[in-house]
Amino acid sequence: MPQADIAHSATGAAPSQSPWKFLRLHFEFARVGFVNTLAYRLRYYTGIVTYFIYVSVYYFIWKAIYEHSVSIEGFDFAHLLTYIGVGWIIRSLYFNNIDQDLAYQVIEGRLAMDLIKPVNIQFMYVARAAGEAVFRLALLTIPTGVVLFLVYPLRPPASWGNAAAFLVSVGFSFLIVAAINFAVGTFALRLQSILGLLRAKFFLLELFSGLLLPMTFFPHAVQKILDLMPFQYISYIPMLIYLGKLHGGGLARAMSIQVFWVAVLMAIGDGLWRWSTGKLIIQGG
Amino acid sequence: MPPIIEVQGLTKEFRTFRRREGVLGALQNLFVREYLTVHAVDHVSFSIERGEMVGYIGANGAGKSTTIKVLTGILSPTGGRVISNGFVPYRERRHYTKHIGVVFGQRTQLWWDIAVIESFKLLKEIYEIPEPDFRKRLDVFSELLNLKEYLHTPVRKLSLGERMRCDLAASLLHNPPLLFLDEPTIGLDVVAKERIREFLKEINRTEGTTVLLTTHDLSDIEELSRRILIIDKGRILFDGDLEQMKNRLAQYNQVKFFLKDRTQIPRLAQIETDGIVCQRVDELTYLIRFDREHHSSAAVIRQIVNTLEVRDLLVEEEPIEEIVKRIYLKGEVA
Amino acid sequence: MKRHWRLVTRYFAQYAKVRLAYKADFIIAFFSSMAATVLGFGFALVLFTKIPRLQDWTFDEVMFLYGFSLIPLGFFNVVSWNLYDFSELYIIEGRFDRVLLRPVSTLFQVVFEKFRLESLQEVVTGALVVGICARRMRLEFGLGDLFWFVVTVACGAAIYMAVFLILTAVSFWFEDRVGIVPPVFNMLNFGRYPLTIYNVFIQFMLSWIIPFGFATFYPTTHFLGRSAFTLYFHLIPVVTAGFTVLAIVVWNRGVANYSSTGT
Repeated sequence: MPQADIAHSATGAAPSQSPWKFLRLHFEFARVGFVNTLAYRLRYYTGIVTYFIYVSVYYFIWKAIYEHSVSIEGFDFAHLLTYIGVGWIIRSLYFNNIDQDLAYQVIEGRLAMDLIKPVNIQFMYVARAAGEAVFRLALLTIPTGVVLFLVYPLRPPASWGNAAAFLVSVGFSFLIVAAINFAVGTFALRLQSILGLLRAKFFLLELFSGLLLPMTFFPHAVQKILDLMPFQYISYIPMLIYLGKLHGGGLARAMSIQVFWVAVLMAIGDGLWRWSTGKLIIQGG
Repeated sequence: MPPIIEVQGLTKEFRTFRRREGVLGALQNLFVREYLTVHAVDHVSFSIERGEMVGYIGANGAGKSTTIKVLTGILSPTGGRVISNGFVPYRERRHYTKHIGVVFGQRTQLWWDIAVIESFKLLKEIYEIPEPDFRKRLDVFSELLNLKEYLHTPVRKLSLGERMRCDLAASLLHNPPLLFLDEPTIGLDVVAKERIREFLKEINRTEGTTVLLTTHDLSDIEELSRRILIIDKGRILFDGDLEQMKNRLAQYNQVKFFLKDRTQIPRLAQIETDGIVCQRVDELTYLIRFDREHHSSAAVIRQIVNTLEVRDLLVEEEPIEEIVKRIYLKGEVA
Repeated sequence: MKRHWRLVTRYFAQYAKVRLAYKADFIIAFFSSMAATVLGFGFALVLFTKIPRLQDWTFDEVMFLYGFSLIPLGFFNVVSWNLYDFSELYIIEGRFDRVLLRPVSTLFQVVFEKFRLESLQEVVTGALVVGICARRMRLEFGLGDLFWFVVTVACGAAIYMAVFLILTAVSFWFEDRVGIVPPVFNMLNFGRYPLTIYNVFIQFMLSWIIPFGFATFYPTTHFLGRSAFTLYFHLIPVVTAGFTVLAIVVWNRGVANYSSTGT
C-alpha cells in the first residue's frame, strides 16, 4: 500500500500498518478534530454572519461595476454573482487552519508530542482538518449556503453531472489548501513568527485562487503564469464546473491537474517537514 | 498592631458548565449548557500577623489558589470581607499591588523572551522603584540567590530552579511587606528547594516580610513556618502552629527497635499484648505503632527492653505527611 | 503620564531588541507582510483593467482611499498583536493574572506589552500609494490639509483600536479560542471601497456600529474634495472619542467580570 509506505518512511519507527489500521487511525484523528471544533462554538455562529457580510460586500462592488456593462469577460451579472457567492460557500468548506495550528504547537512547545507519534505528521494534520471540515459542512457551509441562496439570486449548478463533478472537485480543493497550509506551517519551526507569512499566503490564495474574480479578468500574461500554479485549482476550477463552463475532456483534464497538484504539494510539504525537523533535532532545540 | 491580613467569612462560588463527552455530547454542549455551582472557598476566616510565615495547605482543588487569588486582588469574592495591609484587595487592586509580592510556581511573572535583568528594569519602571533602592536590592538578591551568572539570559532559557529564584527576586524588588507564594518549590530539586527556603527565612528575618505560602511539600512548612492552615473542600480544617497540630492530631507514636540476634525472634509474641502489634521491617528490625491515648512511650519501651534483648531503639512521632493525609481523606479534623 | 510614556518606550525598546536579535527572521516577516499588503491591492488593480470607474470614483481615487485606509491600520497593527491572541494567551493560559498583579492599568499592559514592528510596512505602503495617487490627480495639499491628515490618521487608528478592544473584551465573557476578532478583522475590507456603493443598511453599520467609515472613507472624501460628506468629516473626532470611551468602559467591565468569575 503506497499510503502506508509514506506513513512509515516519514518516521522510520512506525510499526507495520495494515491499510485498515491506517484508515482507522486517521479516522480517529478526524474524530478528535471534529470534537475539538465543537468546543469553540462562537467561531461558527459568527462565521455564518461573516461569510454573509463578505459576499454582500462583493455583491455591492460587482453591482456597482455592472451598472455600466452587461457582460465582462463572458460573465453576466447573474453568472458572476453565482461565481462569487458559491465560491465563498465552498471556501467555508475547504478553508482550514493547519498552518496556524502548527504555529501554535511550536509556540506552546507541544511539537514534541507530535514528533513522538509514530505516524506521518502531514496525514495526521490533514485528517484532523478533514474532521473539522465535516463539522464546517454541517454548521457553517450549509447554513451559509441556505442564507446566501435565500437572499441573493444565486443559480443552481448547470446540471446534475456538473453538480457531482463539482463536489468531487471541492474535495480536491480541500486537499490542495490543506497541503499548502501544512507546507507554510512548517516554517513555524524555523521562524520566530510566521504571522506575516500567513497573511501573505491568505491574500495570495484569495486573489490567485479566483475567489475574488475569475481568472479571465487577469491580464493575459499574468493568466499564462497563473496557469502553471496550483492556486486557481482551489476556487476557479470548481466554480467553472459548477457554472457548466467546463465539461467533457476539459473537465477531466482540469480535475486530473487538481489531483496532480495534491500529490506534488503534499510531497513538498513532506520534504519541508523533514528539512525543518532535521534541523530542529541537530540544534537540539 | 492589627493583623496584616484579616479574612472574615470569605466565600467564593464559581459557576462552571459541565462538558459532556463524545461527539453527541459536544453537539449538545453547543446548544444547551448545564451549569454547576462550585463553592471553592466557603466561609473561611483567619488572620495573619505582621512578620509571620504561614503555610497554607490542602489537597488539589481544596481552595488554596482561590484564596490566594482573592488575597492578591485577582478575584473578587462572592461574600465575606478581606483586609490586607489596610486595603480591600479586589476594590483597590492597583494601589494594593504595590504592597505585595506574588510568585506562582507554575507560571513565571517575568517576560519570556527578554533577559532577566531587562525584566527587572521593566519592573523598576512599573513599580516606580527609586534607582538607589533598585541597585541595592538587586545586589542583595543577586548575592543571596546567586543570580549573577544568568542575569543576562532570557527567561525561557533558564532551568526551573533558576527561573524560580529570578521570580522570587522580581517579586521582592519593590520591597513589599507581604509576599504570597503559590507552590514556590514545585518541581524543584532538593538543593534548589533548600536555597529558596534559606532565602525566604533571611528576608523574613531582615525585612520582616510577612509570607503566606501554599505548598504540597510539607517539609517546606516544617522548615519555614511555625503556623499552618489546612483547607479542604473550601473550609478551614485547622489553624494553629505545627507543634500544636502534632499534639492534637497525631494519633500514634512509633517505636522502632533492632533485635540483638535471631534468637530473640520467638519472644516477639510476648510483647504483643494489650493491642500492641509488631510490624516486621526486616529480619531483625521491628516497629510498634501505638495509640498515644492508651499507651505512653515509656511504658511501651519498658515492655520491650524487659522482654527482648535489643541492640538499639528509636521513638518517633507520627510524620506530618501521615497526619495531613488522614485529614485530607477524612475531610475533617478529629 | 510621564511614567507611562517611559514604560512604553522601555517596552518598545525591549521588544525591538528581541526582534532585531533575529535579523533574518525580522526581514522575512517585514517583506512577507509587505507582500500581503501589496496583494491586497490586487483585486482593485485587476478590476480596473476591465472597467473605467467604480460608480463615479476613478482608479486613482479608489487607490487613494485604499492607500489611506492602510496608514491608520498600520499604526494600530503595531500594537494590535496581543489583541488577536488575547483569549488564547491571556485568558486560557492565565497570563491575565500577572497583568492584574501589577500597579499599571490592565489595558495599558495588554496593549503595549508586545509590538509588531513589521506592521509599519502598511504605513509605508499606504503613504506611498496615497502620494502617487495624489500626484497623479494633482491634489493640492496645504498646511491645513496636512494638519487634518495627521488628525484623521490618529483618529482612524484610535477607531480601529476601540473596535478591536471591544471585541477582545468579549473573551472575558466567552472563552473561545478564536472568538470574533478575525471575522471583524476581515470586515476592514469594507472601508476600503467607496461607502456609496453599499446599501443604506451597510452604510449605517459602517458608520455607527463598526465605524470603519470614519477611519477611512469620510476622511478620504475630504482630501479628494468631495463635499457631500463634510458633516461626517467634522464628526470624526466626536465618533472617535465616543467609541474610545465605550471601549474603555467595556474593557473595564470585562476585567470586573473576569475577577468575579475567575478561572
